[in-house]
Amino acid sequence: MTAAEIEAVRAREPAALGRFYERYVDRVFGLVMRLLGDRALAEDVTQEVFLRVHRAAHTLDPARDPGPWLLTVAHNLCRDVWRSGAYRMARRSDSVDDGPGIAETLPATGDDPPAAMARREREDTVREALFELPETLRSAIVLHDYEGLGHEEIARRAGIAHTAARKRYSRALAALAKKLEGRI
Amino acid sequence: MSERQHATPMTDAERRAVEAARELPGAAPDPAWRGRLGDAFARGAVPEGPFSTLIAVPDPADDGEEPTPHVIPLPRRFRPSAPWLLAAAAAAVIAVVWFGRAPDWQVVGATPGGQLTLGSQRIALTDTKRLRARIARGGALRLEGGRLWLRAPGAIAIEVTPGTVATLPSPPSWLFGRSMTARVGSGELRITTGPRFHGARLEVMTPEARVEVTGTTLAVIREPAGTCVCVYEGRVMVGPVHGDMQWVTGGDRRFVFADGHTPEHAAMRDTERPELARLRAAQRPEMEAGR
Repeated sequence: MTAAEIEAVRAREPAALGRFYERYVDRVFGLVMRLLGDRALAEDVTQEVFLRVHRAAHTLDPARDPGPWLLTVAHNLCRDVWRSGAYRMARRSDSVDDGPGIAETLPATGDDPPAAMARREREDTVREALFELPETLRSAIVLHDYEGLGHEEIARRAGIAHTAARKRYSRALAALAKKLEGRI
Repeated sequence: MSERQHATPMTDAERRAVEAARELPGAAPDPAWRGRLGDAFARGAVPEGPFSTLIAVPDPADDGEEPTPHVIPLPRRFRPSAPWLLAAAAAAVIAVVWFGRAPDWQVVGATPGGQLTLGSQRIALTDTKRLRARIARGGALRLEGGRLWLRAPGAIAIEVTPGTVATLPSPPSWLFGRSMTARVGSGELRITTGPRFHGARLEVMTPEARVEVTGTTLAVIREPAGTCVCVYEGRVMVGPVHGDMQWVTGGDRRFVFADGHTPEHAAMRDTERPELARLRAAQRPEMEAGR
C-alpha cells in the first residue's frame, strides 16, 4: 500500500478501509486457518484481527507495509487461542476435521474422480498429520513454508534465538515426516 | 526456501513431507462472511467476538496448589521407609486436590432454537449432552438465540441471555481458587449466588467496568453505551475499570459509560426486576439443597 493509502486508513476513511481489507483479509484468514484448522475459529480470530486493526488504525506507520504487523497480530491471537482452556479441551476430544471447513477448502478440479479422491485422501492425511503436531512445531512449518518467512523473522516473532527457530523447524519437519511415514 | 536454511540436511522422508505440506491447497473464507466482515470493517462496526474477552482459563488438572507434606520424625523402630512416606504424602496431596477441586458447570436449562459457540465449537442448545460436556469448565462463549442457565452446585447460578459474548471462569472450588473472573463483551449475564459461594469472590469485567460480587443477585448488561449493573438483592462494588468503585445495593443500578462520563446511579430497571426475581426463585432453593 502507498503512504497516501495508509494515511487514509489512519483517518479511517471507509473506502480506504475497504481497500485495506480486500488486500489483506484472505492472507490473514489463510494463515489463521492453517494454524487453527477450524473454520468457525478462524472466522472469529480473523474478525478479532480486523477489530484490533480498526482500533489501532491511527498508529499505522505510513512508511511501512502493514502486512507483517497484521500477520503478527493474527499469529499472536492464535497463540492466545491455543493457550485458552476451551481450545485445549476441544483439542483433547476432537479430530481436526470436526465441524465444517476442511473439506470446503478443497478446490474443484477437472481431475477424474479416482484421481481426485486419491489426491483428496493424500491431502487429508497430510493435513491431519500437520494438526497432530504440537502448536509450536506446526507454527514453524506454516510460517516458513506457507508464509515464506525466514527463520530470523520467525525467531523474532516467537521471541526466541535464531538457532532455536531453525532447530524448531528441523524438529517440526522430522516429526511431520515420522507421522507421514508409509502414509503418503 | 533454500535447504541451507534447514539446521541439518533434510532426509528423503522430510523432503517428501515438506513437499506434501506445501502442496496443500489454501483455505478461502466463506464469501458471505467475508463480505459481511468487510462491510463492518469499512463502517467501523466490527462486532466484538468471543476472543475480544479471551482469557486463558486454568487447565482442569491444575486447580489447587499442592501443600508441602510435613513429616514428623518417629522413633527409629517405627520410622516408615521413604517409599511409604512418599506414597502417604502423594495420597494426602491427591485427597486434598480431589476434595478441593472445582465442580463443573451444570447445564440446568436451555431454550430450544439457540446456538452456543464455545471456543471453536458451535453447539445447538438442544444438544444437551455436548453442551454439558463442553461447558463444564467454562470458557469463551457466544450465545445466539435461546437462553442458557448454568449452575455450580450450591454456589452460583448464571443465566446467559441471547446475543451474549462472554468468558466464563471455572466455578469456584471448595478449597482453592475461590476467586474467579468472568468477562462480558456484549449482552447480559444474570447471576445469583448460593450458600457455597460464601467466602468466594467473582469479578465481572466488561470493557469499561469492573464488578465485584461476594454474594448477591444481579445482572451485568453490556450495551454499546456502557455497562449497566442492576442489583436485585445484597450489594456489589461497581466502578470503571481504572476508577473508583462504589457500593450498589439491592434495588439500585449503576451505569458505567464507555466514553468515560461519570457513572450514573439510579433505581434498577423495571424490566430487570422480574427477570432477576425469577432467576432467584428458580435457582436459590436448588442451591440451598446443595444442587
